[in-house]
Amino acid sequence: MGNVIELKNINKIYGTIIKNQVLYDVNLSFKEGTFNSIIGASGSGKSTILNIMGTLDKPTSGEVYIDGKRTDLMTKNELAEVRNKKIGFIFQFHYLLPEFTALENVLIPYLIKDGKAPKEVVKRAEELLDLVGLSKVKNNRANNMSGGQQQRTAIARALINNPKIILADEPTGNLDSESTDAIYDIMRDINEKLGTTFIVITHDRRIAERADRIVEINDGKVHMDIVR
Amino acid sequence: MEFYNKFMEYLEAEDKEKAVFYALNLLEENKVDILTLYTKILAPSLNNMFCKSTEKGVCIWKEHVRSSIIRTIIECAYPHVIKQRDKNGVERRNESVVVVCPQDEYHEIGARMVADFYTLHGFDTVFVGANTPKEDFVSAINIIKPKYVVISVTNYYNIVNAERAIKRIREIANYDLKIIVGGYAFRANKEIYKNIGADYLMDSFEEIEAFIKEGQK
Repeated sequence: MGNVIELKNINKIYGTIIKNQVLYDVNLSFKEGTFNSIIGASGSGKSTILNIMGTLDKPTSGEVYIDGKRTDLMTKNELAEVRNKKIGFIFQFHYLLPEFTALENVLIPYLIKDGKAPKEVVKRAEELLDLVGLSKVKNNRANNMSGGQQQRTAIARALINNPKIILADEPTGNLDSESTDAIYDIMRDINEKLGTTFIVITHDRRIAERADRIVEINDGKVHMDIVR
Repeated sequence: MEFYNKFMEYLEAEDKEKAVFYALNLLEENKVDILTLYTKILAPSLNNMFCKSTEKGVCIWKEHVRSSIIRTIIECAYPHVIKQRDKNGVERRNESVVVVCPQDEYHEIGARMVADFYTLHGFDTVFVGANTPKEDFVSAINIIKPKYVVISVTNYYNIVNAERAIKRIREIANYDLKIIVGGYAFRANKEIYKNIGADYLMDSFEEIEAFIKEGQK
């Protein structure tokens, strides 16, 4: 399997007058179909790395390759296309629309774009909700679901465009240990069934120790890179 | 192989009584020595454990039961370790080794076997065991003044905890202490011991033995 993400000599400096360098010559790559975790103290730079990988942020210098294509030189529109086609995001806070049902939330990208989702997309959304164990509550409004169910909906939403990569920033940070285990099982199941590459920032040992690889970021550098 | 196969019959049946007596009789009757018992029978019996598809729901249960049987054998074998050391004419070295697992590491059987190897070679061995908070064992370092601290890691996430412990030991130790790491977690991470501040990686019992013999020269 080839690398689905590659970072080469990434530096990130915030500010122009008072400069704050948060990443120093980061070189990292992730193989397609793997399940990876990124750990590190708060402020170590791990979320900045994830944002750069997700094309939500640009490096000050260095090269970013997503699925073989260099993205750090792309225009905003080109980046948006890469994001839509290749990458799904899961955050600590699910950002679901509370007045919409689970199914509608999963279909949001289509509802915004065309006002209506094609039948085959609705079918896919239902399958994804089934995959994350939410078939029975698919028509429940987001604000009537538990935290674990909301996060599972967010995972299904991240998968709706069939992305090659899922970037997750503290996906279980807001959940109890039982829901954490359930979310891990779902992510691993998706990784195995669909071959989706997972890169998960986590403070949660239960997630990190079950990943194929742990990357520890310390003071803006890759401090440790260990594999199972 | 014959001894291993017979032992596995009892272990797979989770017949603690037969497994323990069989292994201890092998020592009593001088059919195997400690090194052979540990490296050719006990360690493989744990490492080669696989879960049948029909037993997926009880894998951890079975692993724990098996580990418990093997732990009993190792503890009961201790008098044989001493006997074998004395029979081999190994003199006490007046040097000690501390064997620990870092915080959150609960797999300690490999470390327990390693502790006996050092005893066999004349060291005073302090086996501290699983899940040792770093502050606890660093406090003892300057009192015991071991020649080596051996840190055993099985779950690869705990390499992170091992590094923290090593860092703390280096801060506290006021003499030239050597730190050895080993265990399953390093199998796929052979070079990482340098990054985490250890002096040596010992990947097998044979390597440990060669290392001790080299140190005796």
